[in-house]
Amino acid sequence: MVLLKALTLIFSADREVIFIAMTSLSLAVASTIVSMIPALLLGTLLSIKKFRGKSIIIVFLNSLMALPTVVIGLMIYSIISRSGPLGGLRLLFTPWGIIIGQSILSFPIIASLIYSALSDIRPELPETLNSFGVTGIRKLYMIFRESRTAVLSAILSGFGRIIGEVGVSMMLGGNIRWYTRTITTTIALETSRGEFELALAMGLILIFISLSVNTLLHLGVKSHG
Amino acid sequence: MDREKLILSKLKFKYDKTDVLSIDHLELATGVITVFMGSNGSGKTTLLKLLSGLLKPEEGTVGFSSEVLRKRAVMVHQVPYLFAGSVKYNINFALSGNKTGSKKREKIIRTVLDQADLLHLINRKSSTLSGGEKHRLALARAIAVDPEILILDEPFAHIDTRSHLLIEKIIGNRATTGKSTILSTHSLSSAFRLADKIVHLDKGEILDPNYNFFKGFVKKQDDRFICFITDDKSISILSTGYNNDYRTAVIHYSDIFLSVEEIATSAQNQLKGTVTAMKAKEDQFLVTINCGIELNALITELSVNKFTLRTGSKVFVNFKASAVRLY
Repeated sequence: MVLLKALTLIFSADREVIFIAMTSLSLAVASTIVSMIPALLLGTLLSIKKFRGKSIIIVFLNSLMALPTVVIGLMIYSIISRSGPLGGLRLLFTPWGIIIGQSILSFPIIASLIYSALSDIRPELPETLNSFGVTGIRKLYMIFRESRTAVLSAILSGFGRIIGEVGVSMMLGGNIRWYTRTITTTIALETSRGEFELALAMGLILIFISLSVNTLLHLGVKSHG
Repeated sequence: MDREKLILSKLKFKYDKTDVLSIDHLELATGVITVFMGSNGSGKTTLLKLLSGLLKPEEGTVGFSSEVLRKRAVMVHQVPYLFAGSVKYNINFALSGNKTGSKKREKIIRTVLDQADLLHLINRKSSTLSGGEKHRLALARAIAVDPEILILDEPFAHIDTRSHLLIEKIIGNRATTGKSTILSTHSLSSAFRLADKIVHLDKGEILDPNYNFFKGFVKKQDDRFICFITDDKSISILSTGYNNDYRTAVIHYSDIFLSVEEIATSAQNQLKGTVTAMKAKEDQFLVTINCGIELNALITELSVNKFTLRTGSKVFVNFKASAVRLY
């Protein structure tokens, strides 16, 4: 019965359900893009350069991967809350606040997985590129292109961590209706209120988004290979 | 760039504090085919990477800086790395660094693929090629950019006879353009057929060869023997068997015996010469004789003393026709 009601909510294109789903998706995509660029750079740097303190950074990144979302939420909260150092920017309980938190959440995952992916590439690849005089951005592009499956998996893992998190969205977004309410904060709220239909509908949409994104990327990689 | 020689001097390289290469002095002429031979772990790949500028020497020099060598040389690995995408993409990408117009580029792509017998696979994904086809594509990709020095790490490893012969042919054709090719291989016959110079490595050090090695051509003598004439036509030697494609003669040092006067012997080759150098080698002597060409013979100390051999001694160099191996 609950499932039927949940499906009705989805297929009747309920405005609030669509808004919440789109908010979740757009925030997750934005956060992934924001974290992806520095994470790609750091992951690449760690995999191709030898420097002092590299092991410490790797251990730190791996530790951050396991950090609970509420801890990250709390740390960012203390920085962007009215009394914090960035309080003047009024980022708390806005989508920007969520994007900052989620970006920090996905950054170590993407960076760490990029590092692992690029550490596994055959040494003949950079040597072949060097041999043909390919350097700089072109070399970086080819390395990413050649390990695109692993790179996309890393980015997807970061996206997956974000789209399913509650702590950051709740603490930094405030779960404000028609503004910062996301799929996961809705599930938490509606479940606590005993409104399982909406919670289940949101859960189903979350599964659908996750499956769709993975399938599209998989097909994209396959056709390009 | 010095067109004459790459001079390797006091060259050392280590992996994880273990010496893998130690070459005091080696001169490699440019514009010819040089082959490195040696067992696995003898330092061939490391040396090739140093010559292509992919590795920097820890001590000593390889003639030019790594940056200069990287611009002049292209290396093809033993297990070549092919980019994801089509056969054409692989060559097109290699050419994309050059300022080549699209028409000219298309022509180069078709020419090198035709040489490698891959033209019919131009749109095939590189990942679906067979082992031999992958080797040929990697070679075609390197040839396409027409490097001053082409470096090939074991180009005949794990490929079928057809690919082997095709690759030999491509390397041979390139030699006619006056560009340098440096390669490593375990295939002695390929090395003898292709090389202008062969360098033997063992545990990172250069080993002296134990054979004489000449380039030349063959002429049929009679039903039993053929005549091998060295390129400078300075000497003709008799051998057995006949194949018009033979270009190299090899005579092992131990297959040569010396006499101080002309002797009646079943050996078909008897050349008069003068001893130009003598070097003790373990319990024997390596004697170099100039008889139109320089030949080395390995003889015992007893024989040296018996015939009082020294630099300047007149001797006859004797060897059987069957001791001359042709490639």
